[in-house]
Amino acid sequence: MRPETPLAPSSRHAARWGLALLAPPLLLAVLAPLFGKLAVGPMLAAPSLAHPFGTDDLGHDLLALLAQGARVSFEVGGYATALAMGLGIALGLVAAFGGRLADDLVMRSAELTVTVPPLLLAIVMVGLFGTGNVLTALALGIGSWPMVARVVRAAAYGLRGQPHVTAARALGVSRAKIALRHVLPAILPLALSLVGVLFSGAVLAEATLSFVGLTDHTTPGWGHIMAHAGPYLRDAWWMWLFPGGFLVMTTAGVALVADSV
Amino acid sequence: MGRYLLRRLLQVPVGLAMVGSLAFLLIHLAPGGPVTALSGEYATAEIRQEIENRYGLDRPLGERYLAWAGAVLAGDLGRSYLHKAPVADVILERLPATLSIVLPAALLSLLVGGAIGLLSTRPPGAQRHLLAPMLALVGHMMPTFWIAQGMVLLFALNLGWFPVQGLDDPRLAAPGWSDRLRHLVLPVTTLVIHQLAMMALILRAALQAEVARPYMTTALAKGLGFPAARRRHALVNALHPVLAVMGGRIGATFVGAIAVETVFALPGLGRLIVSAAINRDHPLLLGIALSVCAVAMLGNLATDLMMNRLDPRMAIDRDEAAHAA
Repeated sequence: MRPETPLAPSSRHAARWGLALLAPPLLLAVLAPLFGKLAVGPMLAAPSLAHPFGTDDLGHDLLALLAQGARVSFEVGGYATALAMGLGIALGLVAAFGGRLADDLVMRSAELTVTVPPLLLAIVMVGLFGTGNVLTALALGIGSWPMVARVVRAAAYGLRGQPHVTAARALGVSRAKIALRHVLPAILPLALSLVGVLFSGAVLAEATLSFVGLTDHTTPGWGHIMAHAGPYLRDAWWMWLFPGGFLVMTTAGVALVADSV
Repeated sequence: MGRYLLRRLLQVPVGLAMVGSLAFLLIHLAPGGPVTALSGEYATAEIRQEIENRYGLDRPLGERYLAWAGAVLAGDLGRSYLHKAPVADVILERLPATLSIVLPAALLSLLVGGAIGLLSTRPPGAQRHLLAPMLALVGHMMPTFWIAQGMVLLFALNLGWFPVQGLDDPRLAAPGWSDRLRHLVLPVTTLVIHQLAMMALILRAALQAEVARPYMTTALAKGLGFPAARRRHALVNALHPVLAVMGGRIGATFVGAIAVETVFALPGLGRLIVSAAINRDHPLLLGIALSVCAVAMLGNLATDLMMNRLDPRMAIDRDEAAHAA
């Protein structure tokens, strides 16, 4: 098994820092309907009371755009993470308790999946089936389940010799029930600690896709705003600073919170 | 070791065949498809027929699969619809631009990140700093295109030290090496900032575990200073995870260059695959995806072999793990 990347520092302050970072983008996503429709105002206006984050090259209020982008980020990140978690936990348990054939099958598919970067899979899917946030989340989730499956399988193997598992087996409890009732609860915290890596990875991948124009233009993500910032970098710094800032707050915040769970 | 090596070598062609077959199947199940992309939505039936005929799209799926697999085995990845040229040629033409930012970035982040990781490892029990890992984390969590745009804003637009985009200055009669290097500084630095932190953190985590082990105590007891012992004894043992992560990220490194190539308008593979996806150029899309997977698999194989040389116990462990279940 490959070691997982120790990205976040362990500290009891980490969770607080993480929550503080995560709060503004999360608030933005939750309150998105309050920030109104994409009304057209003055073009490339600097931040002011009327437009706290300025406006973009088409005169859209950046606050409304950012709020919409926050929704896209949290949706895609959430769906992709949930899918990778579900698949990874299920397949990891099957590998650990399903016998040699199942183990081989799951682990070989994991090795195969790992060679295809999730972002590449997402790009290929967009090229084949067209753009869409659900499709993107699907591709990103499918692309990253092996990380979870490997951790779950390794942890489940370690638990097989534990007294409570041996006792359950001696009582004649079925393997499926042992896996779900006696092993799963014990390895859940470990699996959940991967949420940070998965979620921030998915959010970054979505932003990259939306930056290069491979997402649905009717629901622009943060990457889309930054792509528009390109030609106006010198004049409209706010189009560069705010979407990227919120993105980093989201990814770093989630990583810190998940690491200290 | 021999068995392990054989199994590991066999995995590459088998894996590629499976990825390729899956990709082929996906492409031919996808709606819309290349005919609509090439002819537009309002083409007459004859034009559609003509296009299907020219690219062999009217034949049954099984027959097309066999033809495609045979051609790929012979090194022919098909013709790009968009570029009207062999896929392999299109890829090879774009490869140098990508390699010229990805390779220096990988080397630099390994060297600089490794040095930072090595020097920031403290003796066991010493107070650990939180600031450096926090900064590194933020560095890794920033999207590459955001860093890239920040670089353009500061170093190209405001300070004027480096060109904004491209590989060469079109105003020069004969593009030279120094001009090319000037164009590569910002994209490479962007990638390094992104990768550096991870390298440093992984090495430091591994080193921190190594310096707590008994052989370090022995080294210190016989009079070696901590920095020397760290470098001579702990470093070799801590290289494992660094190699593993680097090897596992080769494919991701290529894909990660996409956004950087977009910001700096570099004619690389990343922008090629994006345009292939937007224009539904399926042979090109499939060709690039397969090539990246092949490189990733070979890279994985190379790192595994390297790790086995560093620590022969790995192969035995894995053989046993495979049989233990």
